[in-house]
Amino acid sequence: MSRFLLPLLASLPLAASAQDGGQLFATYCAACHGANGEGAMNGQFPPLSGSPWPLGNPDRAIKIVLHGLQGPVEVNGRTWNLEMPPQGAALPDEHIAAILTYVRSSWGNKADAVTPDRVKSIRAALANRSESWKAPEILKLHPLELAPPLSDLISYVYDGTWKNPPDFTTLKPVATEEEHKGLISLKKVGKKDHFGVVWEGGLSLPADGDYEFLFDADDGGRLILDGKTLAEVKGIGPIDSRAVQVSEKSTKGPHKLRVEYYEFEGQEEIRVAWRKKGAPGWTWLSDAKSGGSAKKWPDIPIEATAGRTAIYRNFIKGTTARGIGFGFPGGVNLAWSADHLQPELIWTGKFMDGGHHWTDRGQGAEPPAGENVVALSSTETMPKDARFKGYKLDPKGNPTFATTIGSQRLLDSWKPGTLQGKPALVRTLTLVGQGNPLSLTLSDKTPVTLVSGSDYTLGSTTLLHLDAGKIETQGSSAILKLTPGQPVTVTYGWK
Amino acid sequence: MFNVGCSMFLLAGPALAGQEDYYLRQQIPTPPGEILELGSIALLPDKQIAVASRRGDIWICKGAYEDDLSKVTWKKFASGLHEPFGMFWKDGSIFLTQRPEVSRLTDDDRDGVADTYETVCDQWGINGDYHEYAFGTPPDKDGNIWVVLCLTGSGGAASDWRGWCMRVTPKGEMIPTCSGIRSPGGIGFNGEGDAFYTDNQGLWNGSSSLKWLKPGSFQGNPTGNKYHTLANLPAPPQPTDPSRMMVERKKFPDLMPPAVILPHGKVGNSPSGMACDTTGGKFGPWAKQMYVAEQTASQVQRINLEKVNGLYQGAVFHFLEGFEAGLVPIRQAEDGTLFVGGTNRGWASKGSQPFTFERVRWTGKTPFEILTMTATADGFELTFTAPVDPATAGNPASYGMAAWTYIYQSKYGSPEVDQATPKVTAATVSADNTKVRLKVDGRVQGHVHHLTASGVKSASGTGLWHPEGWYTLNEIPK
Repeated sequence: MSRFLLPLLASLPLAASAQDGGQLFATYCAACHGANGEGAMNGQFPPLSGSPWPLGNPDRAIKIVLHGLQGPVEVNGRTWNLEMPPQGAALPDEHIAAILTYVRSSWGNKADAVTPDRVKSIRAALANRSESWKAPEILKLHPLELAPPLSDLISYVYDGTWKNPPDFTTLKPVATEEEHKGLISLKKVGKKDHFGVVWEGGLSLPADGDYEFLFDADDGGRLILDGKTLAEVKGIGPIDSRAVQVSEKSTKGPHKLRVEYYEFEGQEEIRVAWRKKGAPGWTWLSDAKSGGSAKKWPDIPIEATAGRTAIYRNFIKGTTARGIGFGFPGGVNLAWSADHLQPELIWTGKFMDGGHHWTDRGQGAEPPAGENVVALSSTETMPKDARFKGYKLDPKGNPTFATTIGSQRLLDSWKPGTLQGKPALVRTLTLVGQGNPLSLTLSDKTPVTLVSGSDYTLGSTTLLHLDAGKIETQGSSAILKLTPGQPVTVTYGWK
Repeated sequence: MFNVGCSMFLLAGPALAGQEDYYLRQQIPTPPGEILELGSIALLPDKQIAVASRRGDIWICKGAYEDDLSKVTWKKFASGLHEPFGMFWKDGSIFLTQRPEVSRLTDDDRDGVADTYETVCDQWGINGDYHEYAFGTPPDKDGNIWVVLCLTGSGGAASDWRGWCMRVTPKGEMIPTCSGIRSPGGIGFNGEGDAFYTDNQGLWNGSSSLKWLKPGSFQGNPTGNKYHTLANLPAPPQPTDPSRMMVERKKFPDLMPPAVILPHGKVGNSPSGMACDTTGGKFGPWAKQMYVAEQTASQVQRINLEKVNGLYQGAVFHFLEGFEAGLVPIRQAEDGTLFVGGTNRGWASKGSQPFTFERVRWTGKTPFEILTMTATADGFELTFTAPVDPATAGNPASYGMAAWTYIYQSKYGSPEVDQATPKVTAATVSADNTKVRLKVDGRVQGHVHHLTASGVKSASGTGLWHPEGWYTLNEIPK
């Protein structure tokens, strides 16, 4: 639009001009769904192009635009867990209709226009609804009209005993079936051992560009695209042991996919998936996905480096929102609550995985990444006037937490050490300032039992050693009496 | 110097027509392999800059002011912080506002790595909801840090003091200061030292806006009102739903209308950090104006504020764009350099990189722009950055105006409603040709007034770089 037209247009009443769905989409939707409908930032947000969600019965999309969508949503085999804010209060019926009409007729999508009247009637019918939709709820009302992931899929079943991929083209199938669901599946083959299957079907790719394919089989097989073998799994062995991931440049539109599979004996499974190169999740062509072991987030291990203790301040499962994690060299770890002013979890092995909080928005709490997690406490046990003052790190990054209690100051120092020859946590408690001794709860979640002298057990896996004083049991609490000016060192070890 | 910089920039990527003539935008290399999703920037002595990432690391950079940015060096100062948004240097320490607390980090043994993580104030609630962000300022003239506390999930208030603005004194006391906050994106001060924050479109916010944190005021979202009982404060207003800001303002004197509405979709979608230009002309003629970063559109907008009848109001203009990620923190150095940082994790942005650290410098050439748009008794006065062509600037047909407001409601956002078409009936050019007084019939108090000045030419015949401005007319001067 040339600039000198603007003053003229500005004086036209807004409602008189036809709504430009593309312009409105660019303004209100494209930031997340992408100007090309493929999901912004290489698919960090769900696509509308090639997605069944905006197609078919338009009521599903109208309702989602009106009220928003929360929680996990699966599109073409990939799951996103974000929040789409409701737009019903911001966008009038005409705008929503124009936007959805644009979405339903762009980027290869083909579906009828949406009328403002339809938006109006749905808005009126749901006038009292204020909460966002969740995927299962709206899918129950309006199931997706799914195009099969593979079109015109045919399966050929063979009998035979193979420990390596045979040349199926020379073999005669014992059964041939049309697979209307378009999914690669072993469920209906009806055989356990000594068989093979070949699937042939059409795969439609959304754009020209680089793709990645994932192929895995128990026992083996081949993935062939347009006559080219992309991946091969040979020999016999379990799933997840020989998965192949390959990159391939391809073009927009239909392609011929051929999948060959053989099963020797024992367990059987096949997994096939594709994605645009670098996209965070896979689109599955098989009913078996990276199922039980499917991770929602990438691994981002956080660990002590160069002998320096790692710190992770975020939502750690098993302690409070103000939990502070410390991962010490040697594989001993601590989560200290700055709400309750006390240690709440200790564990061995890996410290934390940042993948959860450092991907997407960071919803929820992340459990410790390691083993032998011992819950020490999860309630407020310190006096009411106790205040957190922060922590100081020694040159190796080991913390001393400071808490004021009235005019006294409690210093709670932690560093790695050993107990009975194994890695341990060494904790030194010092009460500074005149006043009464402090009754400190060492644990009220896991029982402490005296073994002998100054050695105790903490639950079934952990050992406690005191260099001074003793632990008293009051109900389910293990109490250490701390006298001003008389530090006590407590060592936590694992059996 | 500028020639060298310009050619570097042009090599780095396609430039937006015009901007490179006036402002040189450059990405500052970040430490290799590190994910520096920037939430905070602090300017340190000796031309050092500290940045904090959403992953909780602080890195200190040397060389960010030099012409050759390839020689920038970095040192990690701290780690394990919980999403800091707001950081500054004072008395030899880095102070920052992180999700659970205001903290003071000090390098006691002077080895370049923080040793002491002192908790200055942690008296607000967090419950593990990712949306309970906290944004903090540099110190005000009394040394207080202003902190705005986002609602739980941006729609609830499940933890103490969510939806409130607090001042944290140098002694660590926490003073409840304003209620009615929804979902802040940044906080800072104007040239007079008054605190402002950006609040994002959503429940009770028809559009995103820049808001004045006048102590004792209610910023419009009643979700966190209940926490007034924690400090024996009077209950904040409970506005009628749905309504209009102008209607509710008359009922509740404490209800603070947005100082400058940033019309949703037109100016931006997610305003974030802010900086007030106190460099006295080292970044162009925008003295005391506010630069507001924008996450979704990867831009920086420019705002001129004025106070009319005791309330702030003013105009927003598009300014800088093309940043590589969604902008969040913004700081301006004494030499005029604007430092910005960005991230698009969890919230998409026009800039497609996952994170960025950039600087913008003025080339010394001033674009032909509306410098300020201020309200008068019968219209608006425009001040330009260069003398205008009296023929076009004096012709009312060179200007267009539209006005609207938003429904003030508990629902998410609002359409533009109550449209009006104020008419520019006269345009009077000042004797020195730098100002134009517009006589406007049909203005509406409380409305956003969208000015389009596409017909105005400078004395040398060029059009405006950005011919549009959006003025929020809370009050009409007498």
